[in-house]
Amino acid sequence: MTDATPAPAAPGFVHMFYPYTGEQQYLSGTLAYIQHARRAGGAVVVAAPEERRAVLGAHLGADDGVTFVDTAALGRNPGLLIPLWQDWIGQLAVAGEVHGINESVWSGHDRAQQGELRYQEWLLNLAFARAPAWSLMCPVDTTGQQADAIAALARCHPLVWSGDEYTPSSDYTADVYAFEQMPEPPEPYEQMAYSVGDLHAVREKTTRWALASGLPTSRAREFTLAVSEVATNSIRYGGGSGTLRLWAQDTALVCELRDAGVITDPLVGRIRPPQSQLGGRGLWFVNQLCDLVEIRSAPGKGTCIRLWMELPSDSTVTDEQVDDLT
Amino acid sequence: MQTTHKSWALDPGEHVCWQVRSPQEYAAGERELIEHTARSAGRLLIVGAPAHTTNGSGRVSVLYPPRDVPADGQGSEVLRAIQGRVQAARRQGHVLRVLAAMEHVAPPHVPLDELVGHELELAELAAESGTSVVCAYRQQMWEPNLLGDLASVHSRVVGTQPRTAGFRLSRADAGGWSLDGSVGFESLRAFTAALRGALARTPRVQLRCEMLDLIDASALRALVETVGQAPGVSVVLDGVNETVLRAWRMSGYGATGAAVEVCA
Repeated sequence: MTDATPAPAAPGFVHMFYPYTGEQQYLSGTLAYIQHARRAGGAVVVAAPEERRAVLGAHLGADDGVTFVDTAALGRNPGLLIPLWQDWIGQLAVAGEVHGINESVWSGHDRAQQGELRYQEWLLNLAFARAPAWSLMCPVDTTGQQADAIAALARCHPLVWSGDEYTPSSDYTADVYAFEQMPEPPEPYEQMAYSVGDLHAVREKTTRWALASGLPTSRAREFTLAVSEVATNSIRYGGGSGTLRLWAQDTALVCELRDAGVITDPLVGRIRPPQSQLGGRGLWFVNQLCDLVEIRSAPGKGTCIRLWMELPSDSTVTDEQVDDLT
Repeated sequence: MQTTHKSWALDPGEHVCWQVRSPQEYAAGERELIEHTARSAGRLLIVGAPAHTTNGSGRVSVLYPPRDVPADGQGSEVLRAIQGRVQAARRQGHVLRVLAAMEHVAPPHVPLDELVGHELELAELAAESGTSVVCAYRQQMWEPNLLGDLASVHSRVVGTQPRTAGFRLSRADAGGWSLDGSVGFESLRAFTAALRGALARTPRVQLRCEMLDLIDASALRALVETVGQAPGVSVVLDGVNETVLRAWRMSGYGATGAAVEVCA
């Protein structure tokens, strides 16, 4: 299928990949997309790093009907991508169709972050499968990127934007997402098994370890809350027990929780729970609190969830701080 | 389980949970409390059958429910009788200490909500009169999980520590209640019982939360549901830390019209 406009004819989500090289190609492809969208009468949202927004803004008139949003709200955690787009679309959808440009920062991230960012791009297809008509174009600067990284991103998008039209992508894998294997934690790490009645001990251990490792008090509490939510899921849905492992890696602290349960909904915790629903907030909290969340779950293998929290660059901690909070 | 050192140097208004392993431990503790009370020139009321003879000094009195309370009297009638003794002592210029063998206040098979209600009443009596109240639970009589839940509605636990619920609801110095520790999935039974008990005493419950570390998603849900089940009541969590405030905001319950207020 070839279409000259990014505006979908029927309700549904049009999600396209736009690999480009250099500013000139970036501008021609994104401006063409915006022009098509405006001609179709839709609203346009651009979520991009500051320098990209500046470049694009300099080529758009003040009355072009384009809303710029700051991707800084994502922080380190790509898990916030879906709820943020939910919010942005929700604010503009009253005006009709919404067309988005979503440019993530790919450089400067480690293996875990890049893998999770790609996975979020793939999850967007599920999250918005039944959404009202809207399109999302994801520009990716291929300069300096590994070919396999670009190929992996192409597998996350059903469509590819050529610069003035979109076509189906032959690389897209719709059914099952192919995760990269998570490496074993570096030595040394701490470990504890937990079961019903140990939640208090899990929280105490996490808080004490996080504070001793240099996390500020408020972030240590947030980390502890996130760990507690996942451990609670182990107790309630994961066979009643699990294993906690904690280690420091580069500039972050990592807590891993494993249990025998299986998460069947890949979007769990990724979408803001509706007000009418009282439960289902545990993993939502986890995604909001942590800097990175990796979830792997499969029948026969159980569930492994890794929670990452960045250490501040100037972290210092006193014994009094640890004692005060534990 | 761990054992803590018993200290009968009770602060005025303290509401203590004493988890007793054996009759011998009870007898020894009762004796220590009698002796400590005598040294501090105070007076002691024992609720239940004393392990020692108490006549002579006039400093120890006994409230033995089958004898001193109407035959079918349990729970609230025993509490009324305790309050009467406390007030009578105050009128005479004495501050009373209370040692209550809790099986004489409520039989061990009564529901948790009822027991928690009695405990909150004793906590109020202690706070308002300056009376120290020691609630003695003989472990062979009470279900272990129940003892863990009951520990969470006292200001201190002595004796064998049960597997605690992780939080503590106690009287705040400035009135109202103080919620300390962390409230998670393992605390839900005790937490909802404590909330219901507090709401039964006043329709607007103010919880001082300066010492509350965290409250998880399941506990926030329990809070909202408990308040929602009792029309006309409300709960305020006051002085929360930024993590608790953030959890509340993330939950979105504030936008559902729940009669719960959470503020720093």
